[in-house]
Amino acid sequence: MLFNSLHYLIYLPIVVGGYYLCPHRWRWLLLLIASYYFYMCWKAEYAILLLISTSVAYAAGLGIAGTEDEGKRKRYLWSSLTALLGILFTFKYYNFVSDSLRALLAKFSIGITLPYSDLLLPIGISFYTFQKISYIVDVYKGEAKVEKHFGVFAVYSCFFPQLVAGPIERPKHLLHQFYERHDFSYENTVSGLRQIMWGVFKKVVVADRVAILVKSVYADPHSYAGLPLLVATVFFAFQIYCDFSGYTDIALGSAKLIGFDLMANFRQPYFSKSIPEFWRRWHISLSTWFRDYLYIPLGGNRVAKWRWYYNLFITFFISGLWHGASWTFAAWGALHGIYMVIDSFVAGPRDRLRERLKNGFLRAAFDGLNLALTFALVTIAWIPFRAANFSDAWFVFTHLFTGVTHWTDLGATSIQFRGMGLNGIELMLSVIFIGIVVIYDWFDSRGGVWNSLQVKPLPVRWAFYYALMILVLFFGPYNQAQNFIYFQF
Amino acid sequence: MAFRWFLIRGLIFASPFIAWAAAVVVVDPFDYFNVSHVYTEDNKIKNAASLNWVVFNMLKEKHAPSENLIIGDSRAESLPLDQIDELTGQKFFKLSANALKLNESFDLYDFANSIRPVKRVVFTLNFNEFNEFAFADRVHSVESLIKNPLIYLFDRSVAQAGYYVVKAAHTAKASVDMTPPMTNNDFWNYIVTVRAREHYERFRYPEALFLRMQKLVDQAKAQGTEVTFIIVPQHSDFQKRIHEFGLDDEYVQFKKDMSKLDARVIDFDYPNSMTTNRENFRDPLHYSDAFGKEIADEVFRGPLNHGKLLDAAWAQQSSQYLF
Repeated sequence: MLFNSLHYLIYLPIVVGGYYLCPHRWRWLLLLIASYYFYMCWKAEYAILLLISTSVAYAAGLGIAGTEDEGKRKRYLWSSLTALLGILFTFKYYNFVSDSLRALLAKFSIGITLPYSDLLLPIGISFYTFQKISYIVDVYKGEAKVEKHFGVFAVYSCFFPQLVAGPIERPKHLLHQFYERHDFSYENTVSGLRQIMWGVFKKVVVADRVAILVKSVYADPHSYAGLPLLVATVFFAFQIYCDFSGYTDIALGSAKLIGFDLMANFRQPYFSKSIPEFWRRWHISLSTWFRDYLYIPLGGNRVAKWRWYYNLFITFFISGLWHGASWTFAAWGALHGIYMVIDSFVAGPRDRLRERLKNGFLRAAFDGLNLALTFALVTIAWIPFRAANFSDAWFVFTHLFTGVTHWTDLGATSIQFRGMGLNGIELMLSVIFIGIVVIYDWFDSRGGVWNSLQVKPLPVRWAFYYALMILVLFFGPYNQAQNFIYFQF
Repeated sequence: MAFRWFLIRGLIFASPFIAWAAAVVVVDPFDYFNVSHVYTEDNKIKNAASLNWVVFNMLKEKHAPSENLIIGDSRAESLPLDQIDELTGQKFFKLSANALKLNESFDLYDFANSIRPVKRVVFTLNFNEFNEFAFADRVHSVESLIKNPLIYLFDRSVAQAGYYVVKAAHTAKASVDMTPPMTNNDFWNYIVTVRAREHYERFRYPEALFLRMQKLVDQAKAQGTEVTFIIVPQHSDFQKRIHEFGLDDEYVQFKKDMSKLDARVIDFDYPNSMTTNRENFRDPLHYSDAFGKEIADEVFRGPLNHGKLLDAAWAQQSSQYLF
């Protein structure tokens, strides 16, 4: 079930209505049924896998908490992690590893035959596996209490707003909320609906519109050169942001309707002035997960310098592979790993230079330059992320500015964009809507749009809501709705 | 209490949208719901259909499926339906639209065939559509719209068409004027220069599209559907541009490929006394109604005179026709 579907439009009010009508002690059951139904709408069989991984994590938690014998606790920890990662490997990485191995051995003229797995990738498996790993590790480290109620733990493991694409929650933040009594609140409901509406705007009006052009160009990049490649690449940067942050807003808003508070996943990432800052603002639940469960256990920055660089690089490399079983995703992660290592060299001089700039204008210009550079680096890294293979990615990268001297020839430029699915007006609308998102984020970074709107008189608030509703209803390419990008991970 | 307050406010907030939806059902510019007849069919054709023939004709086909179809871009419009019905003794429906791309023509056929098996289909096409970059995807969009009334209720083009229909009904004059804002001569030159560049400067032979065309013909034949392709004429001023854009080989390949189809293919697009005469054209791309009658006569009654049955021999000669 897609968040931007008619199905969800019917499903959500039923669940919300049912939740408030249901006695508090049975609400977990209602949410469990609703969440499994939500998940089974894609492929009912997938629910078995979800149930197995839930049972593994639940049993591991009980096992770890039920004994003080460190050896046993470790055995529970590692056996459950092996089981969960084994499931993830089998469904997501097996073909990738066997293909890579076959290709590697072929280089040495060694031919091997490995069976091909035709198992379909269960939706959201990377997200729910990581959420369960964090639970087991937190229970092991004594940072989270074990959950003894299987039903409640099962809901925590499959809570529909964040099941398929996060935020990847931590037990400390979410588990206790299933025990709290949530009464209907006008403010909460309005706030949730606002967030859903803004998420739908970003997903449907912005991401799905620019996706049409991005899809055309990246399906066959060798047919294009120069401006179309550049536009498609910059559009993709906004597509993935609006798609994923739009999804997250709908998830957070939906949870808010029933009184749940999910963790924030984005904080205006394209306003970052460095790559480390970008990662503190982009997909926060995943980057903090990697920080807490991989980077810090590896030693973090409290090790020798070379080892620190290695830790940074390997964390981002694995984060790339987490996104998809393909070397292009690994390359995206590796690029960010390299960016992070380079930043560790330049961060000091950059900060010192900024401190020396006393003039407000010069400092703002310096910040603007860093912001533009960070955006450019992030956008370049999106190329292998979006491209089908390295050949396409390299072609796009090396042809971004081809024919730059002819870009002012509007006739030739418009012909270049022919057949990409967006006509001149749609292209212009795409730019305007991206502009709206950027302006919104700018205001949001300065105190929050909704907070400042909240104190305005009702007509102003409603005018804003109506404008948003009109944009969502009339400007979304609903007949060309795209799946959420992060659902594939 | 809070819930009741929320419901009341929610209803007040939603009321303009509910009213809007009701208005769209009443005006119904593309006859989607087909329940309200406040505005005439003629008004809707002039003011709504001319904005989006794909939506209008697909909905028409959905409401009253036809088993005999003529599918093509605006050039199919000049084929006289009455004359064709009379000549064939069958009722035809024109599932055509402005600037329809070839892939969309095939999408339209699939759409119509899924509603009711097609007995006879005539595709109109020309080399200028035979380009991988001449691609659009309106048919699938309209299929989504047909499946989901909410999309129709809040669609911008439906809103625009509805406004035009209402405006025309109250001002008694057509809201949509498709006349080009220039003299005939200027428009002629515009087509030959600007539009030709749009068609031919960025060109790639559509191999996948041709394979789809072959598959469509084979499947149609297997289900007993009679398929005809008419390569519609263009004025020689526009034909010349093929050579000027260096597409001679592709043009010959197009004719050769078309001759390989297991279907009747009739070629009107080569220099002859008809295509060199400006009187036979409204503009370099669109033949006149009179020429359309002649084409219909030759295709549906015969014998062929200006039209040539596109076989291997005729295709071989194509290179000679280039200027």
